[in-house]
Amino acid sequence: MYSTRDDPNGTVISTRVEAVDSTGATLVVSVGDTGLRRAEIEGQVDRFIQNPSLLADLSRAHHRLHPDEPRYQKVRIVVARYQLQDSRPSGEVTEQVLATWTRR
Amino acid sequence: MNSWLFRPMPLARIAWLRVIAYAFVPVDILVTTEWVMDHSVVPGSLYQPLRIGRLLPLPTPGPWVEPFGYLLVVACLLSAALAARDRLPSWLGALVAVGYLEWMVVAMSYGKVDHDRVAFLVLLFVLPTVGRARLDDDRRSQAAGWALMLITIAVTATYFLAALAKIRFGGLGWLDGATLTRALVRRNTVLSEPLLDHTWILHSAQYAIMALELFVAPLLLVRWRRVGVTYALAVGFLLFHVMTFAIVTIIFLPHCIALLALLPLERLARLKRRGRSPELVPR
Repeated sequence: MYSTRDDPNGTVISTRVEAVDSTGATLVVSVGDTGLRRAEIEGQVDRFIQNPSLLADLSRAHHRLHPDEPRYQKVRIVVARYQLQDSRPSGEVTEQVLATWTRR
Repeated sequence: MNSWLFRPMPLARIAWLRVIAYAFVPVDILVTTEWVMDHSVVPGSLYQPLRIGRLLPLPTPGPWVEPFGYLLVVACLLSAALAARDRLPSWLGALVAVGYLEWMVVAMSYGKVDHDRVAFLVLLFVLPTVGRARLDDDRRSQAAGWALMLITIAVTATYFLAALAKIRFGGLGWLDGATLTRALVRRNTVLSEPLLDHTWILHSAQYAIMALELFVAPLLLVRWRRVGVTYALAVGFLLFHVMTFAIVTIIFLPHCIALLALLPLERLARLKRRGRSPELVPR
């Protein structure tokens, strides 16, 4: 995963999964929440973009793992792009939602 | 070539490696990579089997993963205890190797393959081939030498192929890129945050990593006249992994266990004997 080259004056990305649960709280989903690691979600990110309904399966996994917690009503994959200047984050960050699923 | 690949090595080192490796698997399953167990709840739609999972009729992970994990833990604890007594090393070793390979299919079939397992898997598969070995064995055998050399080749390949991957995917420009900055942005720690302000350190580290993987790692394969050189190299690589953990919280623990194959574990037997009854230590 670190074998590719990043441009010292380009952007580097950091991906995260967010969920909105039935209480309305927005949570950052980590490995213990759904059973999938961040790198695994990144590895399948193209599948999630093409077929956002796959995010429902993350919600299902969360419910199986934590049946007592409020269920996810919304799941989204967000990518943060950090602008670099001479290999250093310039402070400029843009975020983009790559895929969203909402419970019907 | 023969003397390089089959040089007789201490059987006691094999025995110690068995105990350490089999005792490590439960730690791996329950503590350090406990997320693998959670794949039991992930719907099959997210299972992206590796080639081995496409070639062999392996089951899609599901609720069975959890009992399988605990069964593997028990089998490994039993194997470690019996390995310490030199009982059934080949059968139990083969069982652990096959069980852990399947565990790795469950672990790595969801879009990310960790490359810290190759040498450990090779270790698990070659240990049963050596046959009987006691913790205080004074004998050396060619079978032990072959097994230890295969582990060493796998350890070296892990580094060397990582360097080739960088050249393949990132090109030589990888050296002057900002890959380590990305690594720190993704998962920074107290130690790493100040590094983002001193990018020359990260830039130099990229050169150091490439040199280490491409030129220093192959030195592990050399049969040095002074065996201490190999020990120093192995300890150096272990320290490299500890430092990596401090900076980006990535640790290659299974790979570190495989690195132990390069160290004189047989000396632990002498320590054990000395502690027990010093008058019985043969000179």
